[in-house]
Amino acid sequence: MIESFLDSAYYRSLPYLWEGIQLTLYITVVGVFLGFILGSIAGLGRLSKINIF
Amino acid sequence: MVLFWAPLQGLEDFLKSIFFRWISTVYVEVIRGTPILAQVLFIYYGLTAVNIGALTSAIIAITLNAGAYIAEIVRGAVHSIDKGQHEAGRAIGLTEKQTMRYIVWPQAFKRMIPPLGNQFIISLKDTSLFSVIAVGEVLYMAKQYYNSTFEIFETLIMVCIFYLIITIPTSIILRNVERKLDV
Repeated sequence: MIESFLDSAYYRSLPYLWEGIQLTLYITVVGVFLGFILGSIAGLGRLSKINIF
Repeated sequence: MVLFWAPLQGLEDFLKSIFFRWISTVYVEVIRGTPILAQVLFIYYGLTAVNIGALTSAIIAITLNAGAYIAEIVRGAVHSIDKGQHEAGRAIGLTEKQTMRYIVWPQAFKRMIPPLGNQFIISLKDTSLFSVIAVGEVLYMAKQYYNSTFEIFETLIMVCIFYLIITIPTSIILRNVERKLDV
């Protein structure tokens, strides 16, 4: 069972996809983190009643 | 000291201004009203004068996109906190900033956690669109691979499995955090 998996196209594609997986996670984590900072500023800036600044 | 303080005071005045509120509203409405694919293509091909790379364009696009949705999450969460909390803070002598920092924001942040987790999952899936500008994310690498081997089905199954490996545990963790924090 394991040998057949290691021979399969599923396994062969893994090393190639690994680079992409790392970059995908990098873009997501950095993007969402920066997005949170930007979104917090914009979101609090849009508040009409509470002036926090 | 004045040289240090004056720009900060200027920044504070700017953030208080109606102009800043207007900028925030325009930013959120424009980004939420346009597809992320159009935003990516605009940043990469449209801003030719700036000449930024594909990866930088991708990070800028996902930041701007996630930021617009997170802005609404933040606004909604802060609005959802009872007005009495704010008034209580002011009544015990806290300034507006302190009320926000010590009373409103901690409660609002708790309510932000589920939608923020949701946004993380959405942004993760949105990264697959960056294959159109040749960013070497997982779908782009998969395309490169199956173009040379013609093992399309197997490669794409592995791509889907990768996304599921990230999204399912994230959902489970979020559910546990929600239960723990009693959100």
